[in-house]
Amino acid sequence: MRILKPKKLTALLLALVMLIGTAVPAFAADDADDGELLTVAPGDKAAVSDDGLGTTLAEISDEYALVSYEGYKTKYGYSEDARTGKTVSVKGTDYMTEDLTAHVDVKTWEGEECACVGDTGSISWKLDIPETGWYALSVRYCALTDKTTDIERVFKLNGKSPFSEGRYQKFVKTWAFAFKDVDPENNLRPDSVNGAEKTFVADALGNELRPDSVICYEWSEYSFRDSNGYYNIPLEFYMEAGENVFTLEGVRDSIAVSEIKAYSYEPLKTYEEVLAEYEKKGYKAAEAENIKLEAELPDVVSNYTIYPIYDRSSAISSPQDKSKIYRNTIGGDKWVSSGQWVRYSFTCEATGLYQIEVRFIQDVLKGMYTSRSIRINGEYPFEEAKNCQFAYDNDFQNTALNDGNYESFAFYFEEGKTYEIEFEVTLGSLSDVVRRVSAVVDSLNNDYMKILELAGSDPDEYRDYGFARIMPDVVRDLSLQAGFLYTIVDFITEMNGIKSDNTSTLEQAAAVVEKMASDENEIAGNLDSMKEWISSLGTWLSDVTTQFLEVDYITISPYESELQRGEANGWKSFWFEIQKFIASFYTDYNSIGAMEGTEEDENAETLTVWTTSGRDQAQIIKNLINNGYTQKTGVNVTLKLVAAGTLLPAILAGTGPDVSIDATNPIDFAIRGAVISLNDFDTFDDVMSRFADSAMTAVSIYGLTYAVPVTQSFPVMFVRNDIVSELGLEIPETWDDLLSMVPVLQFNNMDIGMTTDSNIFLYQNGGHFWRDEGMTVNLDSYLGLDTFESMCNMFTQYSLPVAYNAQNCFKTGEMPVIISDYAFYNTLVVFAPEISGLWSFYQIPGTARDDGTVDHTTVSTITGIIIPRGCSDEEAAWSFADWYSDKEFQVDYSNEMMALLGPSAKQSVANISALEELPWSESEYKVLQKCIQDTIAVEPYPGNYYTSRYTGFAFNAAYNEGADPSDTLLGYIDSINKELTRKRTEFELMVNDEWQAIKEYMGFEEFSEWREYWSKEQNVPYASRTCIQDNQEGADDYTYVDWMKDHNVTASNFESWQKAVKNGETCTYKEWVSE
Amino acid sequence: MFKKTKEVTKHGNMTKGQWTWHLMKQYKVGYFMIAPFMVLFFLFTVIPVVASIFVSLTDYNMLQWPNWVGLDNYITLFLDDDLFITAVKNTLIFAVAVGPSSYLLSFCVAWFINELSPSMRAFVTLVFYAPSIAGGAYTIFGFIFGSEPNALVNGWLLKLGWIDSPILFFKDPKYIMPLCIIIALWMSLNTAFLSFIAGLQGLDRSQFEAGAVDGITNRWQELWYITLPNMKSQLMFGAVMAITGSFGFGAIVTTLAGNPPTDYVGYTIAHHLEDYGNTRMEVGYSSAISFVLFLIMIGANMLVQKMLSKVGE
Repeated sequence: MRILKPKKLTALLLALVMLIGTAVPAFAADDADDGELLTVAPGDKAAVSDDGLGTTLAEISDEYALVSYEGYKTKYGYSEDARTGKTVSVKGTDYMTEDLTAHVDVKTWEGEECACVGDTGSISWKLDIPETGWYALSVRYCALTDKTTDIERVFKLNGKSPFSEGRYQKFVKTWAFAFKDVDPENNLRPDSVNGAEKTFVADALGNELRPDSVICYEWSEYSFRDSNGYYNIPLEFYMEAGENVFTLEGVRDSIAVSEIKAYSYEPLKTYEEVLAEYEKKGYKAAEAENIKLEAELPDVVSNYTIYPIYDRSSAISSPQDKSKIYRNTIGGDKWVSSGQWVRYSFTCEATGLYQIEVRFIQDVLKGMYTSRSIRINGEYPFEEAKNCQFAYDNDFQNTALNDGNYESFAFYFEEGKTYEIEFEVTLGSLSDVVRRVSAVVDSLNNDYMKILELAGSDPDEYRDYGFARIMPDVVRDLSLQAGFLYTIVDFITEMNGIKSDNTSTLEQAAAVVEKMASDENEIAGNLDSMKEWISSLGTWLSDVTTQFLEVDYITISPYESELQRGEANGWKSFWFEIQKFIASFYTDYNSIGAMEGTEEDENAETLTVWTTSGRDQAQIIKNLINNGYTQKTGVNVTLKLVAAGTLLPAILAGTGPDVSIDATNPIDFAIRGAVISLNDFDTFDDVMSRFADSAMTAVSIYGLTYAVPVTQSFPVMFVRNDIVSELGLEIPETWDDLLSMVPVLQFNNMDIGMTTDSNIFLYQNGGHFWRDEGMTVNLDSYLGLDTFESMCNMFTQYSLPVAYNAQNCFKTGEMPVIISDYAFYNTLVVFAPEISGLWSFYQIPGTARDDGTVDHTTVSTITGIIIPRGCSDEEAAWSFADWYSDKEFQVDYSNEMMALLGPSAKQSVANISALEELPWSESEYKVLQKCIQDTIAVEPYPGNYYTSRYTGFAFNAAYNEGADPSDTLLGYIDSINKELTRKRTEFELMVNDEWQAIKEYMGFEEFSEWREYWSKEQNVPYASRTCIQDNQEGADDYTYVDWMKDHNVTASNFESWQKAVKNGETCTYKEWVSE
Repeated sequence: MFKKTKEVTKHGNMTKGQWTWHLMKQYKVGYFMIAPFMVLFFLFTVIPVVASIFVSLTDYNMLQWPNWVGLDNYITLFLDDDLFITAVKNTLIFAVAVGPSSYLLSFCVAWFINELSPSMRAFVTLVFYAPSIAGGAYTIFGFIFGSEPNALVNGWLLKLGWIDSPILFFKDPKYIMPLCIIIALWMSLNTAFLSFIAGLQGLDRSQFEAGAVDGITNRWQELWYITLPNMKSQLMFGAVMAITGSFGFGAIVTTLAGNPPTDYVGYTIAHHLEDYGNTRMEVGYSSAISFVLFLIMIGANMLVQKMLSKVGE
């Protein structure tokens, strides 16, 4: 037993070592999270809207310099008495001709004389203000186009934006639905829809389909507001007596303006006052039947994305069926942002007081309520109508409109009159809270930066930095902000209908900040968690501002009558579920959307489509197929969600799909004859004209195209505008500019996130990756080596980091400039809500050409739709590809994704005109548009996987061992070319040796000469030895191999000729061959 | 003696086939019970293995009908494929470095643990076995030796001022091999280790007493003459596991250093196989590689069997 002890000890020790080993990653993860040093504080940052993107840095700096609305009010001494009670208006047609940069047409549009203003440039009007004071501003406008996005303008008063909240103004458009008997071609007007019977178009099985949204050109009045919805009343501007210039600058879409008005905002009556009035006038509850308004049948809505949806969960949703889909609700996740409204109209049969009941479900914002404001005939009946609350529950509820203090609001309606009622998304009483939290986030961000400036991002908690002495303001501000947060928490707790667990984020954040403020020694140790909490507050903000509400129907019932049930009783629900379950056995879910007529046909076509995207995406695609493609063509589509990598084995086994919509490597399939080429379809040219040339390069090889591009992604440059402008730097235009930033940034412990893709440099210098259509690589050319070397130098000489956590580094400001794929935008929107508006993206830096212009070429990658060989119906598959890649689908799909997943779901569409309609701001869109024009794609010639592998090796050697980049790369060229030859032999393509012989024989310089010669001599277009497409059938054709035999040109006799020449032989190769 | 003759006569009455059929009928319950396994085993293991031998004689590319190329693939493999030689070299290095040491390590740790009290033993077993249950546990080394300046090792080295810029551990040929071998050892206490513990538990204590009486003087002798011979079946199992593990070694390198790793350092036959099969879609060629790997493994197994038969002698 004596021997046992040490062994026991050894075992335990070993165990301990292992335990520590397993625990290490936890620390590692921690460590990866915290940012490195950031020592520059951005200037005073004012909250700017999400789209706060100026084009030049000067403008950006201006924007950060803007005061907030609160600051503006203090500055000019805002008080309610300072309203003048006066109204001034100016006709839209009386615009100023000086400084006019927008395109303007004066004409009569939809019955009003107006100025039709183009989508870019600025236009101004003079307002003659009679008395100095505070005015609200409104514009009477109408839409001019049917683009699916809102109209946006930058507003300036007397040449500058008065405050940040007022800078961007959004004008919504009016949309109606093309119901069954409504002709969508006919220009819809709200009243014309009114008369028609509202029924949905249904498929062969009776499932109702989504109606098309059609624009209504309707004139409406828009009072300038805060686009975030932080203020419930219109924004007010301080204007001095005399002439004031009112300017609108184009951001997105054109607009018709008929009148500009400056007026004094009048506070609304409170509900109490209104009630007293009712009593005084002796109004009684009306004696009338209930009026039921189906929510899914509104007159008009404010956004393209709001449309009738369906609920299959509740037995008493109206209408409801056990197996068919009835469109029975509206809203849901598509009606959540401030300013979006839905309008209904009704006529009462009796005069008197009514209540408005709403049957709805709000199962998203847990423990809180969401809000809608109510307008009747365009007016708020009383102040509280701006804050009608809809509480959280898992089930449907039916409540009368109320604000949480009253059981139900009473509305006075007269007999025979038609009323319009509008429900608009608002933050309601939360707006105040949200605004205050957002101000706290801004201040804390600012304080954080100041602390970083002194202590760096990884401060030593045992060191005395003397924060209280050096930056007393910051320490004081911390305690102030903590106090604010606590007040907000108290305020929320006092509010009705909010459970306290929603305040825990605020409370915990406050606790951390308070701790730091009360003891300066705690600042260093808690800096990390402070940053985390700022981030959490950002997320909290974006959560509570999402105002989810799905409405089933609205009932106008006599005041104080008994409310209807919100949810079916237990038995009814149970029975409904049973029915649904049984119905699920005989319902054909695949043919949802198939129209009448196709059903009789026994062999109704069915197309099998595969996608590797997520489940949400697949669901949306399926819905759009049902409502779009199937409805139009009568072809049923089975959409299958498959794991990536299944496609190849499936095609192999002959069980592949008819269409696959997200193939990443179409050419790999093409060169093996597994997909069909698309050139012979009738509409080929039309379809392909939707994409950039570079997209076509990526899906074509040897003159034939094998896929329809769907997404195209490319790198852009993300820049923290706040930091860059604070450091006095400019947005880099060329790589030289970028490199000249490096010393300044590195001096401040910052860095640049660079790409290791040397192809960008190669193509910007006019180089080309391949030689002779993929027979050899061109990397051993002077340009190839030179550009590769300059890429390596960025990492070796400027010591830019090779690996970095882009999100974290960008968020903390450690890397204010990062070159990354533009999908990074989506990550940032979600991951770093607290820096929204502080960054934007630009084209990647370019290379100056001799003529002084800059070449911004970038390299893009593509995914596309392929049609595998063996597809059951190629024409149908093509029409699907056509429909899928078309603008309409791509825009719908993106909008749906955004509605579901928020602004982080922006798609990198390849369709150029679809890109224009995605909700990018004008400046973002311009950047993307420029980028897409400048993209190229490296041709995917056989064996291309080998090149990136070896350039990677060469880069690693240069970085790790300080080897000379050109030397190492040169050393690999042979291996690359050998592999290319091997691959080309496998596919029976001409290889380099053969080409060299032919070249010498014919005296050619370029491969294109051979191609030309071939098509002239042989009267067929040269594809390769055999046309790839038909490499099974077309093997008998006369090929270049036959040609070589006929001319006695071979790689081996070429080699012997070369040897002979070396030994002093003087005859040409042609002569050598004929001998 | 008589009995035997009778049996032979009985056998003699039937042909060999009849005799087999007779036995099969006799033991039909047994055959019935192994049938499900055997069917699946044949369908998904034996047939594919045999098929891959045939595929290795063709130029199959997964999408087109294969052409018969005879031994071309093998000729190219041995005579015209530099990378294959690199891969064989690396595989052998890994196999030699990881195979025996992980085997010894498993055994020693099992032997040590065996002495602990039952509850302690269960706990310690879990600790050692954990890395291999959690399949991709080695990915954490990607974080520990990450290339970012904030990753654990680089972060410390930078902080201590030993380096100026982060080391790309898994991109630098200097570090790839040693790191992967260490990680492989960390992961190597797998099922073999469990079977060793089971084997040690199943030892008959009385044999040790008998051994002591017969003149065993120290624990090494005890180990060699009693413990190991008693555990031959577990040792065999462990050896097979260790060999297949060390030859099929590749996932760790692929995950941490990518396939192929920089300059093909740590590039094994498994990678070569994957490269041709997946990236280049040359299934015929990759089947040839896999067949060669298969032969190497069988050879190694036979060698080990020979060695194990010497245990206790």
